[in-house]
Amino acid sequence: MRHNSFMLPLVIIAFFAMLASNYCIWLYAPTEQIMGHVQRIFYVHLPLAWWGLISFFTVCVASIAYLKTRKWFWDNLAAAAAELGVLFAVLALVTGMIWGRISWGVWWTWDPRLSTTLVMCFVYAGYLLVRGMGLSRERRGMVSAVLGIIAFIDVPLVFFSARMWRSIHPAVFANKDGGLAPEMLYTLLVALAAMGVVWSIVLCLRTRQLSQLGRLDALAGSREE
Amino acid sequence: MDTMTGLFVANACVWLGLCAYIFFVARTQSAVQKRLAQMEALEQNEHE
Repeated sequence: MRHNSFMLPLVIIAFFAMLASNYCIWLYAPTEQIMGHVQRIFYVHLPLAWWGLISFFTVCVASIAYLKTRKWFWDNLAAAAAELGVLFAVLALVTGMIWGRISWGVWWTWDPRLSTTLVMCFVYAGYLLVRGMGLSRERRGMVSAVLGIIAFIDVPLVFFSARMWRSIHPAVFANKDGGLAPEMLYTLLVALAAMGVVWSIVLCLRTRQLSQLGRLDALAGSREE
Repeated sequence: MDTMTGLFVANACVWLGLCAYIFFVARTQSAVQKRLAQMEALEQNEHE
């Protein structure tokens, strides 16, 4: 593989970032007094949710950039970000459900935050379905860019839902320090950074891979003609 | 489900999800490499 030389340092960085994050989550962070050990889910749940939202913001920005420039890079970036966003949002929902089952006693409740997140997952799953429909490359790029911009409407709703409406889901950082002990805050920051490193690396790799696939398809198409 | 089981199940889900996606990307990459090699071989044959 031609790009092994730059992949290896990235994988090593991701490995050490996740190692540091897991050290903080399991050994450094204090146990929460009321919820106990299950509160440690928070350190993976929140980074997944935030990086999921950042993924969808990336989809929107890349879609706008694609419509303006018509460069395939932006289309590929939007596709890669949407895949990662759906993955992260689904994992955030799953970890939240497990946490909810233990602390609220139910797997699911139609709370504004949970409901808007679920809708967001479905909308972006639809976006990925449209991309996989077998449209021509130009048409797919155009349709998915418009969809990527419209779909972003739900993202601010997810973020502000716990503040705007009556929600049992806590709004983290609604006040200045988020009500977290310093050790908890440091752990959260390390976990956020580590997830960000993994997210960035996978996003770069997938974007590059999609551009290779696009070029190969274009090459195969021109050969057939 | 007790708190420790919940914590381990949640972590297992996250790692499984991430590893599954990375595995999918890696498999797609090997397919891309294969197609690239086929294209190069095809082009080489045409030149000869």
